[in-house]
Amino acid sequence: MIVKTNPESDIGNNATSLFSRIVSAIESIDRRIIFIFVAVSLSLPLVYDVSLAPAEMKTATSFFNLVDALTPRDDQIVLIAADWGPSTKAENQPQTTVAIEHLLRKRIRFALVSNIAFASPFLKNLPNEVVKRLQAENPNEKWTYGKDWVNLGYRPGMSIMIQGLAKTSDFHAVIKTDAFGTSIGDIPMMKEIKTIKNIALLMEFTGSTGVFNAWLQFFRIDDYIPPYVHGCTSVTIPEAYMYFVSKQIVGLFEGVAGAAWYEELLSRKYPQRVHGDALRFMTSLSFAHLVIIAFVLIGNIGTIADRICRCRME
Amino acid sequence: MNQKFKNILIAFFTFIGGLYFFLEFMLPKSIDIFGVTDFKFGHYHDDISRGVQVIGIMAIGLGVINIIRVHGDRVIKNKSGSTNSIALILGLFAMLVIEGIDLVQSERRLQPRRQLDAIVLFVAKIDSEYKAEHEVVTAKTVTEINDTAIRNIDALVSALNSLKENVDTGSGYLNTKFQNESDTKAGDVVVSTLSNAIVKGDALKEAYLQDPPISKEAMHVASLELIEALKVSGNAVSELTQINHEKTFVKKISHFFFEGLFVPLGAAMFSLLAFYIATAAYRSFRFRSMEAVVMMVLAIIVMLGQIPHGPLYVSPYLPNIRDWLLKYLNTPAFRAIFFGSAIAGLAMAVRMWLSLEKSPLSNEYQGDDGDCEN
Repeated sequence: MIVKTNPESDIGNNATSLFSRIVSAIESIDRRIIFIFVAVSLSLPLVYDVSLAPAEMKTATSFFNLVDALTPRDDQIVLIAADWGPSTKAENQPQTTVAIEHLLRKRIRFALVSNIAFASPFLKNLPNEVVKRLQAENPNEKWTYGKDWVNLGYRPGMSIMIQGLAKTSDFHAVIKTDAFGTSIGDIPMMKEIKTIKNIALLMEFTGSTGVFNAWLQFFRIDDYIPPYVHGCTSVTIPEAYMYFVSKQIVGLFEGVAGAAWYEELLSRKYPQRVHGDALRFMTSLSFAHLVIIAFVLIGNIGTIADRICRCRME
Repeated sequence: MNQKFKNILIAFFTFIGGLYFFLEFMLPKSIDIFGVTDFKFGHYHDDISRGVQVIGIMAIGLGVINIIRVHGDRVIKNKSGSTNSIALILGLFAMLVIEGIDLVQSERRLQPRRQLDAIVLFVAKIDSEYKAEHEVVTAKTVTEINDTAIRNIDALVSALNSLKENVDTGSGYLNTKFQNESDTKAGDVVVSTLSNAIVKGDALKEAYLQDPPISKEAMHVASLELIEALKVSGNAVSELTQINHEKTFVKKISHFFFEGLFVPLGAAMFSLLAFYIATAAYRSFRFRSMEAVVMMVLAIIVMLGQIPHGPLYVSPYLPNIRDWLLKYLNTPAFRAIFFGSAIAGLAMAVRMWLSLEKSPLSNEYQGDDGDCEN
């Protein structure tokens, strides 16, 4: 029995089959291909040190204006709570670094503390790295531990520790020594720092929501609430933003993008400064964002094409 | 102990603990009660808080024991995943040993500084005794006071000389022999500040030896000068011992474990999220329904609004649109979710406070044969 076939119909069927295969491939790209694209888009800008001007972040601008308005005083310090560890280092470290740089440039004294044990080495190394960079930029100036900053180290107890700090009438009795064992009373910049009223500003950098809430709830007394600025990871931006809207926090780093914009503002004020990590990381992240958007669009093109294919076959 | 009695005991302490912290937070700082004015409910709050931290510290032992039990069992019985368990146990013990030794060395490092701090207190004590005892004096009493003070000053100057010798001979954490050029300065500072303190000590001793004795005020000034010199020495000694501590073998191993292994591994673990988010976004942001389309479009606008390419190549208004979306769409939704979860959390907290929640370890939760039941 000879089966007659229609050549035109065969060509049409082959084309449709090829189109279906393409659509199917677009709709379900192997995840490994996506991983490769993301890895390449993240790493190439870092390798070639590409930096693009960051997007403006109003929340970071508020942060900057607040710090810029501070003046150095013997009886006031800024308290920096670096509640992050290796896992959120990529976003929180540039934030902490850029904030420390601004404070050091303005000679605003600050104390570093953390509720997270893993932050201890960062509390020790970060200010030294920033000071090294600043001294290379300004050879005639000097920044000294004990006079410009102090490292209070890891303090266990989370909300209990925070409440203790807020309510005490003598910091020296609660925080007896710094991270290196030196008595707080012997540290020049801490001599006049006794109560929460001597804290001009609280900066808190973390990727954990519980820690952020603890400072917000407990670091206050009846007649004084220090201004609170916060640096969060991108994942927790939606949550932190609502506190910014209600003015419970008056400045916010929205992930590394906020730190990148802050760096831009710092560079405008101090043109001789060298760009730090925030801008490089944000540029790298930007290309990864574009790759993700591209894949989302490609996937949707596949979905729409697949629906069209099915409609035609029906 | 009878299970029922255990449950009652646990419920009692849970209730008392919860009641205390609730009242401490809510009540005013000081209140007048039953004729007692200025009653401070939270007078012992610091000590109670420290007690809570001590209880929390017991979790260290609990955690280590549990890890060894669970993973040790896996290793001994050669179950699947035993290789990972071996790695975990080895890593745990390695860190425990290294950090334990580092802790002991840290304490030793602080010894010279603590010695100087003790000398500062000693000088302050000599000064206060001199001021107090000179109120009512006879000639004989003055001589006795001075002799005691001179002996004490001799002792502290001898201690300072001993410290200075440790620096010169390269003893322990005051060793300056193998330092590089930049660190040598720390050693020189220690030597010079200790020498200055010794000079002040000798000057104080001379003040006591003077006949007729100098005024109380002049003696006090001499004591203060010595205390200040000792504090400066203390800071210099701290810096030198810190530098030497960083160079010890154990500290280098500790750095390797933490900054060489733990930090990169921890960062890498979290960084994997970036890849999973990419694939999750690719798979989930599809034109399946109107809600999905809206979510996808808004997500793309927010992403473009926070990267340089958005304002540069798409629209300069993207950051403002992004802020608007976060402020007027995201914030109300998140607030609603937070209110709900906060109320649920409050309800759960009250249930736990009143011990209304069944513990998985209780007999009511487990069957008579010890198996967990629903």
